[in-house]
Amino acid sequence: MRKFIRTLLLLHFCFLTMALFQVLGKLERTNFSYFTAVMNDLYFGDWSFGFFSQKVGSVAFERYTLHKWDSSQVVLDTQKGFRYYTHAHESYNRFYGLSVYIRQDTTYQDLLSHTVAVRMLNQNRDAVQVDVRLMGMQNPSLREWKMGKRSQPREVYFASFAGQ
Amino acid sequence: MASFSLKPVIGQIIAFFETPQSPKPLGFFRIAISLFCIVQALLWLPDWEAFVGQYGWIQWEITRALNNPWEIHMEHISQFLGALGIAEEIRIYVFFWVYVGALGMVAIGLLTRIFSVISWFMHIVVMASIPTFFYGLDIFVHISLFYIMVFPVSKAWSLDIKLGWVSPEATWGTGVAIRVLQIHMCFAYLSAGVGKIWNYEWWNGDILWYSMTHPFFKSGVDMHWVADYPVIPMFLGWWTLLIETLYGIGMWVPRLRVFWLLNMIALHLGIALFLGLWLFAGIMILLSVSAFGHECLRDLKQWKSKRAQIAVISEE
Repeated sequence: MRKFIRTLLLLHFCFLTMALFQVLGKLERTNFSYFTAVMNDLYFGDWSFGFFSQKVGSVAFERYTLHKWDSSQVVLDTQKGFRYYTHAHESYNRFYGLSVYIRQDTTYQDLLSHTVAVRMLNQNRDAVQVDVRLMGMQNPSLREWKMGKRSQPREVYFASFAGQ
Repeated sequence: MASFSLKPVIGQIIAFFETPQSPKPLGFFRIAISLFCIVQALLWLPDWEAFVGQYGWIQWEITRALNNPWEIHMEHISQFLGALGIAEEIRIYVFFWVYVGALGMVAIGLLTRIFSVISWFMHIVVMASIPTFFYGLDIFVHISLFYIMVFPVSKAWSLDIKLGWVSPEATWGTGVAIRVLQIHMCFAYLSAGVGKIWNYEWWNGDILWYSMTHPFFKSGVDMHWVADYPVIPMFLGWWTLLIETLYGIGMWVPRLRVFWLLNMIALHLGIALFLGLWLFAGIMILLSVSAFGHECLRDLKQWKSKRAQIAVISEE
């Protein structure tokens, strides 16, 4: 039993070390990736814990324009406090991950904007169309801010979805 | 010729891991993490359907497409509960309350092993159902639930002991478990620290500046005044790099351990305060306290008794 546990421990620490030195990422497109995916399900063994190690100066806002039956419009903008109808701050925090996901590539932008738009239309039964706008901006650095630079969000994605 | 043998080194490594230790830190770990998960779940309850429901923000067919084919998704659970005759609209809530119930059983330590497996498995299902929404918090919760499942966590403060199902004795297994948790935390912080070192924005204070003024992480306090004191974010950046990267050293040196743990707690309280990531900060503090808290307490007791001895000697 002890030998078995020791072997497991050795494997466990080897795996963590490989994750730590970013080796696992390089094996992503090999058959080894199945193994890492299973280890991920078990305990996120291949996660390299780089919280906030990347750039965080880029900011994304989502703006939803709901077009109603009576031709009126409602604009829901995360820059202006729209929080996806969440009841707890901790729930809203999860949308940061979503915005990162959406920005990653255009496939996700279409796919995830579509599903969010469907939810919007389901939540707002009097709406017939929803426009999804993704706004992006790069926050000025500390020195740039001191020199008076201010950034304005610019549109990086737009799609319009109509209800049936 | 002097011969070199690995045996003493291996012996020391084995002794480091397998020397029996009090199971109390593991009992604390079990109770703290399971209660934390219950709080997290209850905070999530009003938005539960929006995240894991079939027609939530990201619908099931999309979240399933983002998963590995073998992963159990909420849709599978819903189909299973449907076969038991449970109405469609309440299935995700049945799942929710079974999850909370299982965590409750882990917290009180009744049939701990069984319910820890159930909690861990259900957490996999939650993660598989929200692939676009999970972040560091969920990852550390999952790691913790995995360890609760495999460690002898019911050996302290559990009903399993009261019922005579589990022995409270310190064994080599408790020693291994505590060491694994400690080393995992050292790995996590080393990785986090090293990841940051290569980013110059951590050195010049920009990352902290961005974080404090990031519109998403608005904490309610306007932090733009920090621009007038650039030394503050710069110092905080260096402090974070030091505390995280050298966590694995600071936590093993008895003279430094208490100081390091207090700094870790301060760091995560800062994250909670400025970024609004209260639960993330909470789990990180609980993990560090579970891993090293008992050794910090021992250090403090030793320090206190030394002080008392010195006082007695000086009185004499």
